[in-house]
Order: sequence, then C-alpha cells, then structure tokens
Amino acid sequence: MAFSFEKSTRTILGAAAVLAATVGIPSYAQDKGPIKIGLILTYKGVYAPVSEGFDRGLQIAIAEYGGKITGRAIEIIRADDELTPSVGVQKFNKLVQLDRVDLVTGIVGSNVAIALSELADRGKVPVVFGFAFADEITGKFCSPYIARSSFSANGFQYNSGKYWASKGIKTAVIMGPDYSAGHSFLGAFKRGFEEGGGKVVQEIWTPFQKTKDWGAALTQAGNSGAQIIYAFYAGSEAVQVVKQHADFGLKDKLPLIGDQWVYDEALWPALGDLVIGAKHITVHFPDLENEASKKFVKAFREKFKEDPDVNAALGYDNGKAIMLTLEKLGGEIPGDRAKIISTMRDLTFDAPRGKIRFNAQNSALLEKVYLVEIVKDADGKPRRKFVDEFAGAGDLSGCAKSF
Amino acid sequence: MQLFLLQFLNGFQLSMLVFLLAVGLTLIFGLMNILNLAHGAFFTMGAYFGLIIAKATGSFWAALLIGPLLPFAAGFVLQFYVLQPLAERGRSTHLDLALLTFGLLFATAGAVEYLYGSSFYSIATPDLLKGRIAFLGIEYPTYRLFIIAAGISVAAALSPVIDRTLIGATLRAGVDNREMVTALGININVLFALVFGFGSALAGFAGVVAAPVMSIYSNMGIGIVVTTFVVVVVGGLGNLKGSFYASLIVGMTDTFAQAFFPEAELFAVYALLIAVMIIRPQGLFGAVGRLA
Repeated sequence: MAFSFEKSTRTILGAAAVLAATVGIPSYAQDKGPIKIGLILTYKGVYAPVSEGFDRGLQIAIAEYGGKITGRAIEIIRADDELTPSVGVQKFNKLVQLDRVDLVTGIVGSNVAIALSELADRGKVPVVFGFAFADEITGKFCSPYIARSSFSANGFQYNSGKYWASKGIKTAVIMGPDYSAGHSFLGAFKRGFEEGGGKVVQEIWTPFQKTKDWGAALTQAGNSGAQIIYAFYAGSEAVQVVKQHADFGLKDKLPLIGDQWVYDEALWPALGDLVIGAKHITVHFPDLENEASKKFVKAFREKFKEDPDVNAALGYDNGKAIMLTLEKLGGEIPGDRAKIISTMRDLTFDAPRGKIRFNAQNSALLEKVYLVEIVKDADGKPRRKFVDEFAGAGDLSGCAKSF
Repeated sequence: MQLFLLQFLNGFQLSMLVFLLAVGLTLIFGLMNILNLAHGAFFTMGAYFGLIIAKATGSFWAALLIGPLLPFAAGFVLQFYVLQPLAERGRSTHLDLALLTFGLLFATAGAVEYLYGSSFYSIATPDLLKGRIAFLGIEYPTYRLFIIAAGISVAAALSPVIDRTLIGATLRAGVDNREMVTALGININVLFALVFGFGSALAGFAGVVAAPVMSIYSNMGIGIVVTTFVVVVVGGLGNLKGSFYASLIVGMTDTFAQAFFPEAELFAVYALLIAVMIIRPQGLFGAVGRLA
C-alpha cells in the first residue's frame, strides 16, 4: 500500500514535470530565455519626470551591453506604483508571480520601498532600490535580498552640513516639507552642521503638498538673523519656494541653498532667471569631468537629444550595478538569489557620479558630493558650474541582522 | 511690529487669492446651487490658456484678459449642454453632480498632463509689478500688493451687480422660483449658463493671477477645491460678502498659524469648518432660513 502510494505520487510528479517541461520551462532551461527585470517606478503625477529620467538612464546602461549578458537578452517589465505602498505591493506580486522576474528594481518613494522590503525578504526576491533614500531602508529594514544603488539621506546631507559650517556659515534656517523624506534629509544636514559648530536657529516644516503660500514662513526666516536657508523641496513646491523667496528680496540677504531637487532642471522653465547664481549640492551634473560621466552623457545625448538630469544618472548607476552583477554571475541566476545581492555588494566600479562601492548593508556609498553654481552659458542658457566637492558620509547604523 | 505688519500683509494677500478662487464658486454653488467640484479644472484651464497667451504675446496683461475666456466658454458649454439637460431629466441631485464634476476635475488634469506633460511652467511677473515697495519701514513685493488690489476690486465690482442690478435680481429670482421667472419671458437657461461661465472665468482669472507666484502644472486645480469649498460654506452659501470675510478668516488663520503655530497649520482651517458646521450650519454670514 505504502509502496504503491509512493509510486503513484512519483508518477504524478513525473507527469507534472513532463507537462511543465512542455509548457514553458524548457525554453528557460535550454535556450536560456531572457533575464527578466521588474522595473517599478511612479510614472504618473509628481514624480513622473523623476521616473522618466531614471528609466532612460537605465536604458543607457543596458544598451551599453548591447541589451545582453552572455547571450541572454535583458527584458524589462515596467509597472507603476502610483507612489502608494498598497499599489506597489500589488505590482510587486504581479511581477514576481505572473511575470516571474529574476529581480526587481526602481522604486522612487521610500514609503513604497519600506512596504516592499519586507515582502522581498520573506519571498526571497532580490530588490535593488534606485532611489528610496530613507536611512532605515538599509538600516532597520535591511535584508540579504535588498540593495540600494543610490545613497542614503545621511550619506548625502550629513557632510553637507559639516561643509557649510566649515565655510564660515554659523547660523542657518532649515526648511522642508513635513514628511519622512524632508525630516531624514534635513535631519542629516542639521546633525552635520551642528557637529561642525553651526547652529540651526529655526526649523520650518510646511505641510506636504498642502502649502501654496510660503510668505509667512519666509518672513519668519527673514527675521531670524540666520545666514542661509537650507531647503529640501521638489516639484511644484520647489518652484513656489524659490520664486517667493526671490519676491521677498531674500536672494542676497539670506540665500536659499538646496540640493539637486530644489534646483532641478525640470523646474528651470518655470523659474527663468531666478536660478542664475543659485548654489546647490548634487551627486551628478552633465559637465562633470570624469571618464564614466563623459561616456554616459555622450550616450544619453545621442539617444535622447538632451542632457541627462541627476535622476537619469541614478538610473544609469542602477542599471550598471545590475549588469555588472549579472556579468559576474555569467548570466546565470543562482538558486538562492541572495547571491545576486551579495555579488553586487562586492562590486566596485566607476560611475558618472564617482566610484561606487557598497557597505555591509548593501547600500551604495557616495564617493563625492559636488557643490555647483548655476550660471549662464554663452547662449544665455543656465548651466551648472563646478564649485567644490566633499566626500559623502557613511550610512546610519541600525541594521540588526548580519549577512 | 514690522514683523506683524508683514505677516498681516501675507495673510491679506493669501486671503485675496483664496477669495478670487472661491468667488466663482460662490456664484455657481452658493447662489445657483449647482455643486461644482470641477471648479479647480477651470482654474487649471485659465492658467494654461493664460500661459499660451503670455508665450504668444509676451504680455502678462494679455494673458490676464484673454486667459479667462477659455474657462468661460467651457463653463457655459458645461452648464448649457450637460448640466441643464441633466437637471431637466431630474438627474441633478448633489450626488449626481458631485460624481460628474469630480470626474471632470480629474479628466481635465489627465488631459492637461497628456498635452503638456508633467513639467512645471510659470508666467513671468510683468515689469510694472516687479520688485518691492517700501512703506512704514517695511519692504513688500509689489506683485503681492497687486493680488490684494485685484481681490478687493473683484469684490467691490461684483457685489453691487448681484445685490443691486436687474441681472442680479433675475438670477436670485431664478434660483428661488424658476417657473415664475420663465413665465415672465426670461430665458433662465441662458442666464444660468452665462453666470456659470462667468464663475468659471473668475476661476481662470485666479489661475493667471496666481501663476507668477506659484507654478502651473497639471494637478494644480485638485488641491484648491477643498479650500474653496471651505470658504463658500463658512461664508454662507451664495453670500458674496460672506465669502469675502470667510476668505479673510481662512487666509489669516493659515498665515498666522504658519508663522506662529506651525503645528496647527494643517488643521486650523478644518477645525474652523467643523465649528461653523456645528454652530452655524448656514455659514457665519449666511441668512437664517435659506435652504441650501
């Protein structure tokens, strides 16, 4: 009885294997079908321009390898997370279960990233975040299945705080939207600035996506006696803050210093001449003088007939990290896909933004952060000019796992 | 003291911007009782059409005059060919209208995004209004003073039209007793459509006025809907003066909360709305007994 049971089970399993083999798995096993990458971004709404830049940068990196790794084509399957964790989870499950992707990448919002990180860890699906700057992604939520090819909020902003403190700035007002990203970026700046001997005399937190008039906040800031305003805003909020700051005549009295998103080139048409003379920190700009950057900018201009923005550079870094990893693995997807992530962690490569290496929690570090000034070029168009550079900081600790 | 004066002007400026946004809705929803969530769509339309005009002519003033014409036409068509026939078929409860106009609001944002992408635009401040004016020991941006002036002018011009002229009287009569007004030989449908169009044009006007301080983008109209409804409800439905005072309350609350109690900024205005709904549901300045 036991024997026949075992036998019949085996027969069924065998039949199932044959069936599966005829249905579709053999094409995967024998002619090595494409390597599938699920790309989750926010293709509509506020972060649509950011996502489009990233997508294009990623395409450039894949095209550099002819779209193939050891003869296997790279197939990208796109999904839109609508910047909403529940939608992101749904799209993630679809990519993993239906499309059977080998790894997932992209993801703009840290809110979505946090929701996906637990899913990735449980489902043993490798995810390489391309934005998602919140410190806790590779801290509290760290996992052997998660890597981040961009950088952490602390890595970007902590040394910026120290830098400005070392340049004779003693007092600053920090100003940003009252939600997690605003707090992590400006929090990191504040820690660096105050450890460097500066003092944040006022903190202005405006309700995220609810504020239209910054008059009150800017008047308070103008009255604070600080030397600079250090801001973190993006999209329409950045346009309004920069414009209204200039309206109140604060441009010389109390300069508004920010990052690559406050003075994003997508906003230049709306800001006009107001951007001229503004200084901001960034991880990449088109005129950056290094080999990897020149190569990337040239390829991007050829394909898209315009200069890449910083989001495109982040997309390129992400694509490059994935392609180098797959190359190292010889185009084979290992049984335990944590090996994809650990292989990536051991990479060091020259990216447009500088040398990229990963820390023990699989988070990419910034070799350098650049300070640039927006100037007018010969044609009267705004252009970024290199002013200074400093090293990126490490990540905050907070990862309780070891892998 | 100077700080207080500056913040007072900030509050006044924001109030007048809110008033310009809300005044059209006061006519459409407050007076004619047509629930219109698509008000933000007309705001967006005005801003984008103004942008096109400003680009073509290089003049802010041309944009300000011509920009509102597109929302006027769109509003007229919406009322005359869509909402009016619906009302005649008995499909104009608040829920019907809310669903229809809510859809329209998002459809407009989607259409604009399709045509113009999700980039940000702006209309340059006209030379005349650039810079700042110094008075009473402070300096204040000229354009913001212009917004204050624009709000007061619209209020001053519109109030007598509604309260004192034949058009205003016919309109108010048409709302209260439609059959009687029709029987008197007045084409109330055209009048309603014209007023709807005018209310939409005011939203478009607000869109152009706001453009130099804020930015133009596809979803710009969605966020303003809540604020404008708060003003119309707090002010009392259909009450122009009420909307003016309610705009002042909302603008000042928002500005002073932002300046001195930032933690309260997000809910201060809503707390006000809830208090008004409980204590004076007809609105702070609404006449007692009017059925909305």
